[in-house]
Amino acid sequence: MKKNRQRLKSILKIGLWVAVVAFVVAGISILLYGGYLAKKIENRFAGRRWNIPSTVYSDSTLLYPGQAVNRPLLNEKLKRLGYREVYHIPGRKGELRYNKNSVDIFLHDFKSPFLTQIGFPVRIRFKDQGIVSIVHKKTGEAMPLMELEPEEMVRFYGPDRERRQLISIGKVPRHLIHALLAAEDSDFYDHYGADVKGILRAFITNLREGTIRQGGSTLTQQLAKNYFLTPERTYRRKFKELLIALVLEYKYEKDEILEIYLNEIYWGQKGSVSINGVGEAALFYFDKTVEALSLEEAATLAGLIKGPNAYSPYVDKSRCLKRRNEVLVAMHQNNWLNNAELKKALPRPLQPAGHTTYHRQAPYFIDYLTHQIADLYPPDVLSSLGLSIFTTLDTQVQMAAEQALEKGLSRLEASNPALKRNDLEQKLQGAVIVIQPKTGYILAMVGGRDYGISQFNRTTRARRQPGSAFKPIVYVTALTQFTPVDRLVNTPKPYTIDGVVWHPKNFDPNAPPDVTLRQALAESHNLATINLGLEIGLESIVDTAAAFGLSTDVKPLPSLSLGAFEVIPLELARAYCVFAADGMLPFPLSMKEIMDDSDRVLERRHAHVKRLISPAKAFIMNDLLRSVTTDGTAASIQTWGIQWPVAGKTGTTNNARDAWFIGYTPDILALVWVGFDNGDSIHSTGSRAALPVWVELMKAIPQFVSGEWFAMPPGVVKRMICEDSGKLAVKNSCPRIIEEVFLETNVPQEACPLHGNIFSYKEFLKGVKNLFNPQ
Amino acid sequence: MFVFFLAGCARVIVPPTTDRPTPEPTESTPIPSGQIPTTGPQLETPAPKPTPRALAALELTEQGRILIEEKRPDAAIRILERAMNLYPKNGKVYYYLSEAWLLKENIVQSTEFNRLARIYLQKDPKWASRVERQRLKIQNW
Repeated sequence: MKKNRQRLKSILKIGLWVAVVAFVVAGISILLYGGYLAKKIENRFAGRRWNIPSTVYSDSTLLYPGQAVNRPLLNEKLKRLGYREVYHIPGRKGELRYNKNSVDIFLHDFKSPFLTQIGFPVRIRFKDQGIVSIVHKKTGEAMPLMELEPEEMVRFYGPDRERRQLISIGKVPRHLIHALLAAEDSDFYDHYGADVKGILRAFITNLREGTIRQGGSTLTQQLAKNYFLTPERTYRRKFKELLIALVLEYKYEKDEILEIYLNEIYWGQKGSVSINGVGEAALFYFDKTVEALSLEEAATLAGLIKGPNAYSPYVDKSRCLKRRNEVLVAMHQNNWLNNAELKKALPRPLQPAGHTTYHRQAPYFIDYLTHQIADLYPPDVLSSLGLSIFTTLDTQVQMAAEQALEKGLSRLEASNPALKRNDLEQKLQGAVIVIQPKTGYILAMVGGRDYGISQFNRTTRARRQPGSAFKPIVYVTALTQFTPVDRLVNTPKPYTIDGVVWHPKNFDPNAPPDVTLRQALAESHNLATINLGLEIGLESIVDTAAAFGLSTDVKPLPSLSLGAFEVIPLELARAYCVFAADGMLPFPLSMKEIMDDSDRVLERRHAHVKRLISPAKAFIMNDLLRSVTTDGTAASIQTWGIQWPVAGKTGTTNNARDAWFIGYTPDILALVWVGFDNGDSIHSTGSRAALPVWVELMKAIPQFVSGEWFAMPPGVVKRMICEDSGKLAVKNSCPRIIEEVFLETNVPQEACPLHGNIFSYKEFLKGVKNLFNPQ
Repeated sequence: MFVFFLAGCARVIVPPTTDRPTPEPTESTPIPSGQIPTTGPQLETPAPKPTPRALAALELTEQGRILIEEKRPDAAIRILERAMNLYPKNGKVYYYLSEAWLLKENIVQSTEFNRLARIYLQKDPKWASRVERQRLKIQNW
């Protein structure tokens, strides 16, 4: 008996030792694991805590009294900017009301590199598609100018596709913190990461149900789960969550944990993108910053955490309202709301902001921009650093360009069934670039008909023959030696190139045998241009092409003058900018500034100009190219309603493979190309296929049409010329007199030899005077 | 009588007409008989009423000027670029762009914009002399 008792005692002793050892080992293991977790947490929190996608913005939009506007495009823009139509006087930021001849807008706040604008209400009055006045509705003052915020065009998401606006705890209103604690963890400031009562309650419920139904998680545990763990529901994961929560509480202050929580937590879904953090949620649901959230809005957001999609006001408004009121009552129970506040808040309606679904804008431009900044900001950086990239793009011009191109191409297909293709990738294509010539700002870029079908950007990557659209390069080279009235031979002549005889022809078989330089360019005479090219020297044309920024291989062959060598459309558009910009070559600009998430400007691009030709030469070229639209190949522009002065040039290549029109004013330049990728004939010309697209585009953007012409610079003179002789006109003698512009250094010196007597009236009077006063 | 007959046969080189639209004042003047035309003094035209675009551009130019005074050349350049896009004939914008680039010590850009200012402000004696002073300032930088 005694022996048995001793055996039992020793077994118990061993058992106790084993238990102690096991306990100590478990304790040490937990401590070691805790230490490991602490290190892991520290590492994770030491660097960037979140990957924030970078955002690309369009340029902001200027509005001013007297400005012509395209109302439908402006309304579309306001919608895309998130302004929501209401039927009362707009009293909240982002609200808008259309009246008969005006629109009331409560502007959003916005921040760009050089401007921080706090939203205010304005009334814009319209008359005949133009702005009559802009009035600040708070002060009643007339505004000479106002700015609409830049439009968000794209976000560079990482694989997790999360939207997030980071906030700091200091900016979060108390009522939001109280609403959050009331909804999720009212003892947050008292526990050490775990709520024992909550855990026991959850444990009993789960035992009863035989599965994990309840979590009983504190905010810290939720954060641990969201930030460090997978969403699986196992005891092992729950244990890890508890340990991480304890470590978090040990290492960080309560407010710090709360701030991380508020920035981390999932708050709903916008299409395929998740809304994370309260900053983004406040914008998504209420179009407000966190600081501006009202009590009811804060309670709504806090209520959403339990089930962001089930309780979303965009999914079920009444369910959301019920949940919001539960949170308000919970706040009252925790003494964070008094009776009066609760009574006032409960009946208030739910007013979500509404949201527009995300759709990709200006995809070819975005590709171009991404390529431009790729060296400094590769894709992984763009998807994580939360940069704001401000661009030159004007979304109204972009939309107008896309619509004009699609309309033009469809019209061509409808008029000629031979242009239709069943294979979507083989369809008739086109490209449009719109630039502000003085600064090189790219306002719009349409690299193809449908980005979904073909991502090949024809404005920047295509190499196509420009045809006659190249001729201005020849003529500007010739201006030092030739004047607009000089006559050029326009008769056929064979040329031998590498042993092959080339017989160039004019488009019009009845073209006159000689033409003036102005006429040759306006009517696009091939033979006259070839002869001109040969006279001035083909090498000099090659040099001009290179100086004008054409990077493609151009050879000094006679066919060069007819645009036989391929060019890149963007480069050709840039080359034309030289004429429109007083002889300055601008650098095409897509990005203006890049700002980091602390609003520091990291990159900046200003318009850089480089003098290429004299302002006088540029002016003469503008004047010559204006003849193209008044008397030349693009004269039909007037019948289509373009009544303001335009300079431009059409281009059609052999077998009608390419159709071009590049047209400009002092304010804007647009290039249009139409063709098939595989070089099939489009059976049309630049004036019939490309010009209508240009016209359609310009009519849709009246805000860029001033109707002004270029100022005549020093170095240009005007003279009256006899049309027959091309010499200075003689009054009462020359039957056809025109006014012509000349470089001051290259003016006709001779009077017309064809008409009138070579007799000097002045000399005659002098002679008569001398007759009576012999001296 | 003979004199008047001969006078009728005399050649007079024709001064420019307005047959073809010429939006800008011409630099040529009526030319006396028998003389080859040369560049003459510019015609004085009454100052046209500024267009809404011109007014908006002037507003932006003024904002740019203030930013230059505040020694914020980058902000000034950005706003002046907008003014230039809005109304390219506004010569003052080129003057201030030149000033802003000078603040950034970029002589090349400053010189280019000074040249443009000279073109657009040549008819305004007060501004023309300012532009000239600016040119000398750039030269001596």
